[in-house]
Amino acid sequence: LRAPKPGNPYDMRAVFTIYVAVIAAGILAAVLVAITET
Amino acid sequence: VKLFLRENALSLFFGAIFAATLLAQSFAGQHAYNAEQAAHGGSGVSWTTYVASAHYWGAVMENWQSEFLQFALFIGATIWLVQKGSNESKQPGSEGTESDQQQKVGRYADVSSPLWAKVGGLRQRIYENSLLLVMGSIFLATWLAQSLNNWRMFNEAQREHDEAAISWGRYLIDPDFWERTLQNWQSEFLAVGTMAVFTIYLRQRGSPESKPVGAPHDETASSG
Repeated sequence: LRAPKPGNPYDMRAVFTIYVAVIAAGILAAVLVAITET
Repeated sequence: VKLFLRENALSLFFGAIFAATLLAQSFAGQHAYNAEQAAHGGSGVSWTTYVASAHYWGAVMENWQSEFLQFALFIGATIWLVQKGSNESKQPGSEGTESDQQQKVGRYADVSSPLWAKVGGLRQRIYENSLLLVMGSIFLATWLAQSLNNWRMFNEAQREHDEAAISWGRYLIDPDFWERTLQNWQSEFLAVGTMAVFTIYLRQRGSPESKPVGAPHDETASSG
């Protein structure tokens, strides 16, 4: 992975990061709900 | 911005409909949950309470795990198994992990190849399998999250019926957990198998998930 330059194909990194973040947040939320719900 | 939207349209489209349906599920789920509570003489919950409930996250994770299992299995199985005539398969005879030259790794890597495809050793080994490793890990994590939320729900129902709560370990071998799991798996396996088989004889003009319309039925692995 190299530093992104404006308008080049490495802009794909943004969608990759969003997808990883959403999946991680979903799993984390689900586990937290399960272990904290009373 | 225009160029960004166009170049990432596929991911952005699915991301948007994912967010919309996840939200819609929360409203539908809240109403269904409240109707069930009312039928049992209980009181309803607010939307904010519902989206922080095991009922909601159990349902979300149940479906996530089966999707990630589906893709992880498909990625893994298509290394070794082929389907003649399918766009989803490699050519018969090319089963396996293929040569370094075919995979452009190590000394066969291009100037523009990812760094970890060139370096050799453990890093290259990890990168060579990174898609399967990550999809498989997400499957395991979501399946775990499903089990925890379904277990909570199961014990909630046990309490309502004045029955004893069970441990998480006990829940993992309970038919309730496996019914929820297997009902999702079977549909994914059917859909994947169907894609492998239907792309032999059926076409969609313009889609890379199909062979070109005029490609012969016995032609394997040719995107349209």
